[in-house]
Amino acid sequence: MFDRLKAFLTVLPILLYLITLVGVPLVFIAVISFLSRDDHGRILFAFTTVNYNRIFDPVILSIFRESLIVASLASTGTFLIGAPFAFFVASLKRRSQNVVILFALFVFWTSSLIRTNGWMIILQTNGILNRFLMLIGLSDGTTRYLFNLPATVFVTVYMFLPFMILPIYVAAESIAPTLRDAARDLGAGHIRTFLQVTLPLCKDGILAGFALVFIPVTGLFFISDTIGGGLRMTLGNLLHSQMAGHGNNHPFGAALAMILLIFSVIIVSFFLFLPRSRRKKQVDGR
Amino acid sequence: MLLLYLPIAVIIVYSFNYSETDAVWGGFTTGWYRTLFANRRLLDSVANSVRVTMLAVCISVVLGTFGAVAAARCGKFVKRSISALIFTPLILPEIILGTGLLLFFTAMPVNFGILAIALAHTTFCIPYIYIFVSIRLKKLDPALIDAARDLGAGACRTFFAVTLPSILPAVTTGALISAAMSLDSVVMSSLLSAPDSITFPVRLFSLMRIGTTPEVNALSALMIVAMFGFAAVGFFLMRVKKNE
Repeated sequence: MFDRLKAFLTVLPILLYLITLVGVPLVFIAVISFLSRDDHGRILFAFTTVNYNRIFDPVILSIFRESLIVASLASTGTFLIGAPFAFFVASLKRRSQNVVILFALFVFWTSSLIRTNGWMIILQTNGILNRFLMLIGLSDGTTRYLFNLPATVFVTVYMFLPFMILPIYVAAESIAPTLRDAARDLGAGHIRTFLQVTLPLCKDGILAGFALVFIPVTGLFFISDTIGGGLRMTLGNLLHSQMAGHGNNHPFGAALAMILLIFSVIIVSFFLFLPRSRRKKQVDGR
Repeated sequence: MLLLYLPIAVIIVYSFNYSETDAVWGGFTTGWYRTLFANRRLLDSVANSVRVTMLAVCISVVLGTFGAVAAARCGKFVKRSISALIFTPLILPEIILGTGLLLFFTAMPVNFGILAIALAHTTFCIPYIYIFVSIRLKKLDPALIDAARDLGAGACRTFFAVTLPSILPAVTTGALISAAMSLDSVVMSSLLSAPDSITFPVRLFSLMRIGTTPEVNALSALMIVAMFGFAAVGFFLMRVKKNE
């Protein structure tokens, strides 16, 4: 008993620290989302649901739709590029696997904003891409590659690709090669082995990849603000402008953050925790 | 795969571009590096970034390491609640906790200034250190600690003489990764920065919206080279440690 108390006392500082800087701010969001504000933007302690009612404004709803479109396209895009790549890496020799994965992760070492700026230089009118395409005769030099939805999705896919590759690679890599050999011995072809053995066993990894891309993208603002030219707002842009920009309506921002929070929790539990607990049950049942 | 590194290469190449617009190549020059060192606003933002990162990493190293060591001795319930609190900032979109922290610091009677950004960064720096140290601790033979205690070393002495040396590589790795994350943070920093505490990513973000100058590319190139240098040093140190 004394030992347990001592262990608890040593863990207390970090626990209190995290409660103050993670738990309390989340409670602040929940409380302030139900408060109103005066003409100067100061928060008034008067209960209201007006912040949540505003979400049903058609303009706000279209921003929600826009965010969902960007997030769905981006996570599908990362999947289409990342999944084949992950399976390819998993089929390599152990040593080359480590090198390739390290290489893919090392790109994080450079600031994401600096890399976004690199893409701006490449994609702009008269930029490298345009000149290259003109050189091989595919462009007349007038096409605009920046400030539109495809460009935003493209750079988002680029930025989040490692988040899709990694969980699928981990899942594919942990499949015992004997399973695939067994399928082949039983007469299944390459494609059938992949579809009936490899793919189902990688399901958790794929779901995790989707969650790891989809969730952060819904709250992202700097790519759509720069690459997208700020022409189309996403939820991240709206929330950022309410909290730091000229919109400056903290209670409304809190309500938006609350919606985003609930949404993220739903996605996390469906894509990350449910598969895990189901698998645990299967293992326990055996 | 090389496409991943293309924008980085482009930034470095274009920092030597003579032409003032990013679009055309106008010949080689190192002039932008010279004008960069006259640009106070840009340099100030880098200084702010370095201050924030150093503060955030120092706090995170202490709390993350002691947290992981302490949690390793606790029951399942305590471990789980710490994990839940620690991983929340990594799983949720950064902007949610950023919003919460902004509301939290606005409600405070004192102005935290640059410390507010540093404290906000610790929420996503601590997890990296905590994860690496916890993994390392699991591999640590508990008999070693028992032996130290049996030989008469107190809890403190055991920690500094036995536990700390064996988890040090994990602490270093965690610290390096969290430093990179902190230097890169756009979302938290731009929510919490005031005009006098603007960090480099926040400045870069506002410049990118109106159009950047080659000076910015020069600074970005220097930061890229510095980061790769750090990684090389970290890698080298780990190699040396292993060979000993």
